[in-house]
Amino acid sequence: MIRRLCISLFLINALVSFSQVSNISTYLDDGGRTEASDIIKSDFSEIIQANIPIIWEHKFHSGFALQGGIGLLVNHLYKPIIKPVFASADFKSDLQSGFSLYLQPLYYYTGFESLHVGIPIHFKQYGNMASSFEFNLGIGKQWLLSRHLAVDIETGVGMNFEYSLDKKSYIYNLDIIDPHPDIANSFRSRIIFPISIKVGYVL
Amino acid sequence: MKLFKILFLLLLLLNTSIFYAQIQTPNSISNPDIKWDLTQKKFPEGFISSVKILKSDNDYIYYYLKSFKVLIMGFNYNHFLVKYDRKTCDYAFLDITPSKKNKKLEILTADTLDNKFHVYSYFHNKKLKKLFVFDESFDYQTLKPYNDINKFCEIDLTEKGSLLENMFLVSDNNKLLFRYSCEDVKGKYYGLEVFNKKLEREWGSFNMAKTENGYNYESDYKIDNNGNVYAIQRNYERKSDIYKHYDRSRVWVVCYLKDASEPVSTALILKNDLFITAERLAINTKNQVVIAGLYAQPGTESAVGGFSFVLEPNLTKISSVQTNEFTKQLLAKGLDSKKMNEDTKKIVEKKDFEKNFGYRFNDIYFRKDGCFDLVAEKYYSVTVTYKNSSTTYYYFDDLLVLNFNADGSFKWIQKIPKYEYVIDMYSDIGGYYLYHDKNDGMNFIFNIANYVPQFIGYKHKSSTVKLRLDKEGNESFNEMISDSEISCTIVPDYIYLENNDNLIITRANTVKTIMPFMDKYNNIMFGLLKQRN
Repeated sequence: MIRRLCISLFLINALVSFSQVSNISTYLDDGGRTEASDIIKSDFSEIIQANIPIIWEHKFHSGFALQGGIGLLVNHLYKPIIKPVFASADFKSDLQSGFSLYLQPLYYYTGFESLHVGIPIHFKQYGNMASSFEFNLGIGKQWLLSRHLAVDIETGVGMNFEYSLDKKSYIYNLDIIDPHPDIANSFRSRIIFPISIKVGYVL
Repeated sequence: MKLFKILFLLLLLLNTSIFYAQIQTPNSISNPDIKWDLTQKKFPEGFISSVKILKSDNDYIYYYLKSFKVLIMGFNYNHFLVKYDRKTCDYAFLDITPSKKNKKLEILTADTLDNKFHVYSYFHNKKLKKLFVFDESFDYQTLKPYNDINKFCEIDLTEKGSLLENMFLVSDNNKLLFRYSCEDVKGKYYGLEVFNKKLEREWGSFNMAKTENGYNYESDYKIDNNGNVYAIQRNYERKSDIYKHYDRSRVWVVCYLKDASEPVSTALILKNDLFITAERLAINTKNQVVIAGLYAQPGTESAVGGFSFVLEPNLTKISSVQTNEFTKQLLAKGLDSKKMNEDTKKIVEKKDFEKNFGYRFNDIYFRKDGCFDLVAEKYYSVTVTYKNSSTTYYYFDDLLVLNFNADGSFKWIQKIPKYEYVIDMYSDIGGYYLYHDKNDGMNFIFNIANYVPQFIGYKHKSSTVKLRLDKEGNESFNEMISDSEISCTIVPDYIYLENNDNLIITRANTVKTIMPFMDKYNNIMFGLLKQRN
């Protein structure tokens, strides 16, 4: 008897709560934008640098999110379209193909459609010729243009470290920043100001 | 080593003597009796961050409690109604956090209205490009929800630029004001929506509300009997001066008229280039606009006088402008015990003797005869980081009490010298509680508190006092709690005046908490102070 009564009370309570939220459900229906927590992205600014990445982003509770991705370095298919300002020598002409890894912890100010700050970390391995590691402190903003289309623009300032077996600089070759570009050196570091434009599919 | 010991003893003695000197006044009366309840059981739903007593009767105390929970990244706030049994010292509570019902709802504010407890929340629907504001009410005496959540405000943001997340809801004069702001390439716009106490929309406006070029910041919204909205606007020419150089800003009073498309405004200018350092706005029973506060001399930050403006309804005319320069005696009052090694006269004669301090005001209080008063508390806080750990020092300093006649002229000015120098979580025991008694006396309750550095860390010493100013500004003084251990947990903000003029005093053990070991002190305790007069 008591059991039945408890179940009935529970059901009534649940129904009342449900009807309450349903009162305002029309106003809360934003086509799933707020509930969205996963986006599959690619980075347009990396594609034009001969890196084709695929990135998965997951938003945790309280605005914290994590982006992780892998990419193919396709220098054998096409040469990077953009060239760093002040580059002097032939740019990346001899670079081998390879793979890239990407990770970024980031924090959204108010949900997916807002300003975010993060630390993007890139690692690129060009065959057995050279490798690059870079990180920066980035600030950006994401827009959901429709329920499933996201655009994310980010900029920042950070460091790049390049390692090459034959002690030549392949990746940037910046006379302005690198004080001794002609001196053989297997390890080089530079300040970078990257810009990233990502387009994604909101799951 | 010996020298170090002597030095330490000297410091201890000096500190004790300053503390002792502060709490002794000629009119001191013996300790009043406070009957303390048992310590309440630990609050199980997060760390208590604030308590507001809503009502009390012989059997129960009803209060609104805010707590926070630490998450992996950041923390979130939860909201509860609590019913406390005065006989058993036990309590029951109801979770009223809107996001528990629907994660999309963000709380705006929560307060009593028409004997119900209302929780206001909002949702920015980016698909519909609309902002919705909701209301849900609760019976705080039975801890039952009315299950009546409904939308009472809808704002179309289609052509209003980006919504800024700094919206708020103000309750004044039996009306509610919802203020939001948006920004586009042209600048910042302010939106106002006014509702009656049944939450029916009366009117709204969306304006740039620019009094002059530069950076305009609005605050202190008040609603008159006709539903018009008034606010203080401070204008800065340069961004770098915002909230730093009040002397490089100008103060305006702005009126949003119910039936007009554009607001009207009037600059508040004092003679001889005196500038307003801090101010407060209120509407009196005649619907006149009253602005009172403190002023300083050009090139300085220290308040050297008080002022008042009285303006006719809708800002049609300035009826009165009054200033009153503080006397040297008033400025020097209490300095002797604080700055023992400095020449008091020298301090007062310094051009900028109170640099770095700001002023916190209570609301302007109107008496039955139209006279009004205003209290300013000198306040300063600073965070010091050393070896990866940071400490925030809070200085709740003297009170300046300005008392005015109904026409805005000065009746009297008093200074209540005090110091509450506290660290980190102990900031809760700073500040003061003010209530007006039946004889028009102003009663202040505060802690005289000071942190004492130890070999490892620090500890706080405190005593709780009550100071009364009668309607002529004469002082009398009570020491309420001399036990430092108890006094160090008294939070003035949590004090509640019952209908029978008794006071409920709250001991918040939470101030003793050191993160992340929060559980041990996560409770409060009530005490009853029966008033003799």
